[in-house]
Amino acid sequence: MKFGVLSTDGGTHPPEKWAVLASELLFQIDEKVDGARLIQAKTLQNSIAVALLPFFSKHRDDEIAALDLDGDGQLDNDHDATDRAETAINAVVKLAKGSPWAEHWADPLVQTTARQEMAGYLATVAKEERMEYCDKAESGYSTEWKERLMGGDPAVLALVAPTASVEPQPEKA
Amino acid sequence: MGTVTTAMTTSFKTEVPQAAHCFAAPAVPTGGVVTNGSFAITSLSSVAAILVGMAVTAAAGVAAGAVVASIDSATQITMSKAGTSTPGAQAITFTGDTFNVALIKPSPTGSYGAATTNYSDVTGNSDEASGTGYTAGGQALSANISPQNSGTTSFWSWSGNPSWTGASFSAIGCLIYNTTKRLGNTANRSVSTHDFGGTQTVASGTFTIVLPTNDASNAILRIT
Repeated sequence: MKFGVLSTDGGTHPPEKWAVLASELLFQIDEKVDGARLIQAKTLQNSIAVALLPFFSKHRDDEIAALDLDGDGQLDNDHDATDRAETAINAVVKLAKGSPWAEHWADPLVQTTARQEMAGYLATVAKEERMEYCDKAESGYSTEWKERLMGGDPAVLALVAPTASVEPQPEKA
Repeated sequence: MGTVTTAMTTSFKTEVPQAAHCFAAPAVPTGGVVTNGSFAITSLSSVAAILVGMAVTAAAGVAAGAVVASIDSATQITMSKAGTSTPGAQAITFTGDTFNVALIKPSPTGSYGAATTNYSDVTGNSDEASGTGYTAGGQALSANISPQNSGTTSFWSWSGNPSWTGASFSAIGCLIYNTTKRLGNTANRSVSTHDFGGTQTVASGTFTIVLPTNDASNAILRIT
């Protein structure tokens, strides 16, 4: 039940921080792993971080651009990272080929979980940019929006919810 | 000096078989008809995802605090409170319990783990984190999602990661708790405590708790 914690002074999290955390949570290395296998695992984990970085960068940049264009309007736009999450995990699956974990990453269930998690990370990126906008904007609506978000208003939470498929998964063979 | 240990609280484990926590995802059937003075909501497009006890929200004519008292047919439920107007057919939102995550300050007086029963355990010791950008009580966790299966394991977790922006505070862990009164007259019953592995500090920035991977090995709730 490992929680990740991200803390960034002075603003929202840089995409590098997200990429590193995502790689650690999507590809967890058991603490009992050692020797050559540990080096292989860390190498793959680092490669995953590098592969995911441009997706986090682009997602943040896109959200910031939308908020710059029409901040209050963007707050009420549905967030959808389904396609970007899928492309990101496809990139991870591709780079895992040839590694000792190729079979693991070829598993459809692993890919589905990874897509869901990646969609969640990207949703959080977008949510935090919107929250940052609310902190800086001088509009009653943005203040109200953030209060509703923090208070658990389902309508606002739904706007920044992950949208990758969370359909029940088939049983493993 | 107290500590925070990662644990599912014992009281929560006891309460789950009593149906004292509702993790259901929001249900939003369309076409529901609320009538002034009537306890029934009729003509719902579906009741498939509705549970008794869910809150009835986000709909005109529904009294504050109304919950589902009974499921009467494939298209009708009975509320706990009568309708206050007759607005016509509309989508109606039914929600499960509201869960919050509250942060625990560094060097707490109390210790938090399996024996923690309520958010008041934290506040009673004045152990909740405080600072700019943090509101007492923490924040609500994202709308619940549907459980999933992998083999013979069913698992579930909240769908979003809680965040604080414009924040300046420190924390060593957190408590997840249920704000909804579903068992007796007690709100804010504990679910789980989580150790951050050390003091985490943010200054005029962003603080995010990234929930565990939602799979059969790591999800917050797992039944094997």
